[in-house]
Amino acid sequence: MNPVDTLLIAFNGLKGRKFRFALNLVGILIGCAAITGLISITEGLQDSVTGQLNVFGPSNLIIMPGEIGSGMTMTGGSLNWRDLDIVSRVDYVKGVTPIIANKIAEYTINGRYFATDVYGVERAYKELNPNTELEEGRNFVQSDSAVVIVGANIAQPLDLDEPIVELGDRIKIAATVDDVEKELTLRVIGILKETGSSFGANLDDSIAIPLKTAQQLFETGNEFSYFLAQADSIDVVDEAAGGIEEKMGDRATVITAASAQEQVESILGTIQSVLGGIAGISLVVAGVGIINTMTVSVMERTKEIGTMKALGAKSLDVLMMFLTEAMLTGMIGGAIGAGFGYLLAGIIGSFIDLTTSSSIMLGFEVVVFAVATSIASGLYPAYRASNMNPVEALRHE
Amino acid sequence: MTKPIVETIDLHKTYMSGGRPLEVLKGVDLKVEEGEFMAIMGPSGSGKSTLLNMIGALDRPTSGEVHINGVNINKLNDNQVADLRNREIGFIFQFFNLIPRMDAQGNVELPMAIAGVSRGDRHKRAKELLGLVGLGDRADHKPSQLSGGEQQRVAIARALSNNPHILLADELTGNLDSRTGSEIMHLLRRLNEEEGKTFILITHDPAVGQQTDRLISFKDGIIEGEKKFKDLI
Ligand SMILES: Nc1ncnc2c1ncn2[C@@H]1O[C@H](COP(=O)(O)OP(=O)(O)OP(=O)(O)O)[C@@H](O)[C@H]1O
Ligand SMILES: [Mg+2]
Repeated sequence: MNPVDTLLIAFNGLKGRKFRFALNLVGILIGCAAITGLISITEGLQDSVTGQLNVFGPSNLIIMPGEIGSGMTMTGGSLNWRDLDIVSRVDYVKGVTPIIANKIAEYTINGRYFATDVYGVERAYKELNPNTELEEGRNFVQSDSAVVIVGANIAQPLDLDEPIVELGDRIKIAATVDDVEKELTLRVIGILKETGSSFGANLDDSIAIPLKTAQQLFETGNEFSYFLAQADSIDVVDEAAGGIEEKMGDRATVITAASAQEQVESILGTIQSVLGGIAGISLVVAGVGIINTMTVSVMERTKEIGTMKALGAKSLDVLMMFLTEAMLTGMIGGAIGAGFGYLLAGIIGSFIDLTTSSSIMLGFEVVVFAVATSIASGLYPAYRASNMNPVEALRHE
Repeated sequence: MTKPIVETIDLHKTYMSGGRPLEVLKGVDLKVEEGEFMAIMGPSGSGKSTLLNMIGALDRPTSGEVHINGVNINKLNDNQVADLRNREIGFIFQFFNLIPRMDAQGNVELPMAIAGVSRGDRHKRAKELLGLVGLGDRADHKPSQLSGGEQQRVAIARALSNNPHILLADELTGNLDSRTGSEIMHLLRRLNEEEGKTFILITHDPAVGQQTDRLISFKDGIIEGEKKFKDLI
């Protein structure tokens, strides 16, 4: 029998059992939607994390106080000037600069209230972090105190067409330290180019003030949030990190772009395999559903199969007919499922503010996978149908 | 005498039933000439259907031979036997056995689709055949939208679709009222006379038996005797 006719007859067979076909379709569809959605999301996460890590700079190191325990929980400790001195003497470390982070300042511009992250940094920060580029203005100098460099989104919030902060403007910020509200007027000396969010800091949505100013305002004393360092070159990042860890012992943890990527990938990998496993199980369940439905449908059509054989259908014709039904189920279920998966990924992505990675290739792979599952599930019932003795099949009531 | 179109030689069929052998055909020797219109009658359980299934190459004998067009079908493999059924034999069943999801047209086209006839050709032929059996205007009707007699006409058109020489019918009027039954018999007779088709019918109905040229009485797995209503030329 000609493959086109086999396809038409199989299609006809499915049309005749719409409800059960729909049930099988839903089974396959859920599995495929889950797989497509999950992969789109995890790949999106991976892309976004990789993007952030790139912003961080491949030869940069971040030195965090304390140890990172399992599950990325920080335990205790702080960094001070003595630590900075130790790190700066380690081989292959080109430079290191302390940072005060995790502080919030409030201010009002044109009657609109803002609360934003504040970083206390030295002049060296901009030199060590290759991604901080000034759109306008200048970097800090030693003598600066009541000045500020603002991120791109601070100068012009995303929802506005015009900048609200310009060079030379004065911003009065307020910060609450130990329940006491303090105020400070800062002159804008620099506006950063947009960088995208960067690992450890979202520069676009924050403001930077001189380190000394931050120490006074937030009363941080001799303690820093973390250090940003740079290795002599990309090739010696690991040596620099090792040297710092050796000198600092368990008082600090060194993160490099590569180690961070590894961490993130291992976490994402775990997520992906757990969720992928769930999706896989749902496809297995769908496969069992297909085996079940097709077995029933072969039984029901026993007499029809006998008739077909009496009319001259070969065993192979009957086998192909049923396998084609299974294939169609997989193909349609897979395609609709992949479509739903893209949609699902898009919706979830928009909720968690993530650009998901939904390639056409992924959809294609999912459909191929669904077809393979369906055909594998249909194999046994189809074989039983093709192997029927025509006389007995015709006697069947 | 010409070579018979169907010949069985000492045909035996034994089924295993409940662990015991049940001999259903006990040495059947039958010759059917091309263009014959014959019937087999006999009590229920005597093995008529079993014999017809052997002749139709649906089943293989325990011993003995079946020759179709001079070919011993024991010597053919399963695919060759399927081809033989497809091209040389047309089955007509008591319960019509139409595919319920396909319309009359689709059912008639089925054996041609199996044979690999092109879409255009088989469409044309199915139309012709439906016209021949008097259902030219019902091509797009599903079996459920047709009466028993009409369904049997579709089944006859289907059996004719690859232009086989031999038509086998097991109780084809058994499920129809007597008037419809005799209309169907007239149709078969016309096909026999106008197109020279060979018919082997199985029936319980003496009225049907008497409309044939030769009636074979079958009992306990052997041919008991035969009656000729018309001498063959
Ligand atoms: N596959 C089988 N296995 C075991 N016994 C069988 C099988 N097929 C047929 N038989 C037995 O063989 C005998 C003849 O069956 P067959 O169907 O040929 O009878 P029949 O003459 O056509 O009867 P009826 O007029 O009732 O249709 C019956 O006793 C039946 O039970
Ligand atoms: Mg019978």
